[in-house]
Amino acid sequence: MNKRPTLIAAVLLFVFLAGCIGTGTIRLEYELDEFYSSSGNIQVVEVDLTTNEDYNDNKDKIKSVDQVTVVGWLINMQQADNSAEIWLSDVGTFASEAEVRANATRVFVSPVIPGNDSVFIDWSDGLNHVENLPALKDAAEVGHFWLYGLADSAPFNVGFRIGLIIVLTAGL
Amino acid sequence: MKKAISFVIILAMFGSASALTDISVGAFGGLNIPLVQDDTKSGNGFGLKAKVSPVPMIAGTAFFESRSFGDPELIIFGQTMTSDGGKVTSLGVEVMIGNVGGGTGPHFYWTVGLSSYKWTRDNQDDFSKVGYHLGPGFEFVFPASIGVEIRGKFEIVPIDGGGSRKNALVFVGANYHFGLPAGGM
Repeated sequence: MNKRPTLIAAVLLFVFLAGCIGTGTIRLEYELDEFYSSSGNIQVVEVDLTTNEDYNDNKDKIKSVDQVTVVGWLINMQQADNSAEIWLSDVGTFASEAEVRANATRVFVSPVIPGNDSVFIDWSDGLNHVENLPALKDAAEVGHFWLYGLADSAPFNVGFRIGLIIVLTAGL
Repeated sequence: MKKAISFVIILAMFGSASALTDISVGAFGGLNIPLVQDDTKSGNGFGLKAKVSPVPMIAGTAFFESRSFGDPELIIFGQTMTSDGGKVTSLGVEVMIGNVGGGTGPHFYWTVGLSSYKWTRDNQDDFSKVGYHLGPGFEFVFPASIGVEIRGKFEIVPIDGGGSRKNALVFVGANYHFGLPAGGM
């Protein structure tokens, strides 16, 4: 009996299963430097995921980014209620709110923050307030992007003490 | 010793010649354990199944499972937070190979199958894919037509991009066998 077809089938099956089985779902926590953004002084923060050891270990083996969430504290420094916004771009040089709104992608809108107060966004809440998730996933896969802090109503002055939780599948 | 164990396993895998068919229904429950998944924790589950065995060594099963994952936890900014582990419903079919033809006594078998796998989590899109599984099982059938069964499954659910979600399932259950032949194996 010719065993070669069986052997070839077994090798192909092994290769397929190894590719499929040899993956894992990894969760990363990335804390951003705290920043304050206001109507007259828009602030941006650079996200370089390669500074995260887990990301660096797996960046060449990413199969998919499954989830990106914003968590942390959002502080409203003014008297009027407002909602904080986070905008994503691969450019870190926008200087005005208009430039950001025209060229970046809004990826997060917080619940209303009472005047001179703060809200804490946890993992589950964050998922509920993320927008344009595909853009955020693409950026996370590239690993290097910028986040701008804005708010729903001007004038604003909002503090961002936030982090990203990223879930990705990586492996063979 | 190894030969003796092999003999017992082989004996348990061969069905009784007098038990050409077996039909059974059962319920089961147990553990749902995610493998290499940082965004879930172990949970539990239960299910129902119906089995038909047209020949002693092969049976077909249809099943339904309702499972949950535990909520994953993390600490960031000194705050402990969780996310919803979610619930899975799985409706599938499988082929059982081994001593599955009915009769009283021990029955050892392997299963391989596929299922429609739907995972729902709060604030996230539903995840619906075809899942595949295989694993061993052991059932002891008593003369009263009731069988007590323990089984394990390795489940793999391919995802877009080439990776997969993997789970280990351990279930214990009870089955009722219709028309159990007298004498068994």
